[in-house]
Amino acid sequence: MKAFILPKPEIGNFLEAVAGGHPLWIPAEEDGIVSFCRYDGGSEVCLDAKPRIPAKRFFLPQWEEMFAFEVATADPVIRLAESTDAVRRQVVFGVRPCDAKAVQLLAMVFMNCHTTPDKDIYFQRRIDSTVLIGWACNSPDPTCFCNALGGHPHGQEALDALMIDLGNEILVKLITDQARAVVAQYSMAEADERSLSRASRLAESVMATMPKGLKLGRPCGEDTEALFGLSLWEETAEQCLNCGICTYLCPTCSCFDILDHVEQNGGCRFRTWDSCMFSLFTRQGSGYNPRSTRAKRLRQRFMHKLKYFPERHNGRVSCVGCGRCVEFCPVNIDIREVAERMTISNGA
Amino acid sequence: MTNPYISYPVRITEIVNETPDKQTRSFKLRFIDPEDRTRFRFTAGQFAQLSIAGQGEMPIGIASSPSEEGDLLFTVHRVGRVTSFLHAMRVGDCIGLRGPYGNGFPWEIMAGKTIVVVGGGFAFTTLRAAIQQMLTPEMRSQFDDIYVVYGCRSPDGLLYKTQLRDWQKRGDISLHLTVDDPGSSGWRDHVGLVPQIVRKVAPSGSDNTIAVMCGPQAMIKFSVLALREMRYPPEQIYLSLENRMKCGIGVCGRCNIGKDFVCKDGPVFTLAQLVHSRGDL
Repeated sequence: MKAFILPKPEIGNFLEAVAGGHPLWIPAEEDGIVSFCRYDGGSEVCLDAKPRIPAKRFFLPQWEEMFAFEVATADPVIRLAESTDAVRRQVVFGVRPCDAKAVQLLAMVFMNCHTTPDKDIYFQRRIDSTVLIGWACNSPDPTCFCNALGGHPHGQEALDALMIDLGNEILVKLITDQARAVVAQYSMAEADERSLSRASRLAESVMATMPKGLKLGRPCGEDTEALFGLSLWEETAEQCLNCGICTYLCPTCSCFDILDHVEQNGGCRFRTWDSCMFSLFTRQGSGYNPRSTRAKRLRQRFMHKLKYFPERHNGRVSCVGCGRCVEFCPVNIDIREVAERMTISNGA
Repeated sequence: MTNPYISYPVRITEIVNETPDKQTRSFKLRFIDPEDRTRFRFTAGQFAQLSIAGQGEMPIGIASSPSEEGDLLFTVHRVGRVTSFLHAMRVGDCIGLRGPYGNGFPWEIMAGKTIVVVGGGFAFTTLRAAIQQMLTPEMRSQFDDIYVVYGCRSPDGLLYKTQLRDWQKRGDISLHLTVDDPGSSGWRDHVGLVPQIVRKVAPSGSDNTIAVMCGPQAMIKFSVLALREMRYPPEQIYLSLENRMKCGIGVCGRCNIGKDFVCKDGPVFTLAQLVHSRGDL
């Protein structure tokens, strides 16, 4: 891996050069909310806060056409035209290390599909065509806890490049060939020993500010039946509004619905984000609903992240500690406290 | 790279009203490209997603057995938007079909055993496939006794009536039909709920018995109790489940019971697999 130095005032030129080759997305402020916006030359990058909607939207968009169809009356055979929308290369700048790590967890769902050889083609195409340029966190929010899930505010996992703000200059680490290709147009000086050691000291000092002793990995070792029986679910559900904001803003939540949109002689099948917080999510044709209460739906969310997902995927917890669900929950439900209460045995 | 969400085009070749109220219909489906038929290899107990462009998809158990060549059989109860639309379609119309999905019945474990099939109402579809499969001349000798208890509210509700009569004539299957209310139909078989009939006619549980079940919640719940009292171990009671599902490949996230996805790890589970997550049932 090669590291370069970008003088801070040059960041605009750097983005301009990257955008010259490919569609570029950058975090920008709009109506007081930081979100990924399409770079159009004039856009001002905002790196003070993590984008509210995580980078999962580039791999699992909130609304995605799967294929179009035509219903011609003369011939009843339905013609399918697969959407090819997602194959263009795109670059996302300013991705936080937690959000990038989440993409790895999403890939476990969409590219394993457990045992079938069938990969989710839409996700796969987006993985293949998206270049992620990360932005290291120097001042994590009070709700951040990536370190409790094996992450690091300066982590590089699943990123193509990582940029670290060293004050008046930015250290640019190019991790993959894709990243090297994307910034090839822009010439930068190679980083010297001094900058590299400044960056690693900075990484250590930021890590030292992170919370200690959280137990997000512990519930997966607990007994399923015992977890189901906890009074925690009923108690927490008394607060929960089932609004679904925790699932929409979660970088690892990936449940979706598949629906058809129809116009006169055709239409498309598309998928949209869905949420285990909603009662229609599991309601069956007969009217029976296995998760008919708020408590059951709330339990599903936490059990999925902290128990079922690790059981299916080598102990990996389906949370990256970005803290969005903690920050934006209107009734202050906190996954860190829930995980603590799901740690019921006295094991190590 | 193939796209798992794209269906094979199929044509409806036959529609049969299974019940006089016309709410449950069987559809025979033929692959428009015969090559697709050879690609579509399944075992009894699996299901497929039937797709109607503009309406959506529905997960439906495959009611024909792999031993039956030619068109696939699906029996669909009319419940919501997509099933209603299918019910309004005619022979010759085209729809989509993708799959097969799920694990199917545990044929390797069932071999050599006495099999007790327990079914209720219009959920008898994949059980039909299983029985049909076991009764083929090549397969029948691989099993010990075969008991079937199939019940409905009234005689009208029973699916595959002609086939049931054929099975009743055979000496190598012990078929017990039951209804809650025979009405004035001249019903000559059992009267009573499925779990009661299971208690009456099924053998006691042993190393040699496997129960395979599909039906409404209440039937499953009380039939499981009956079988447990008859000393069937939870590892030898198989339940075929139906949950709301969309993708069929374990991705969309809604059909899970505990850590298991009904579409991918099921739809057939042992009672032992489900007992720890029964709060999700």
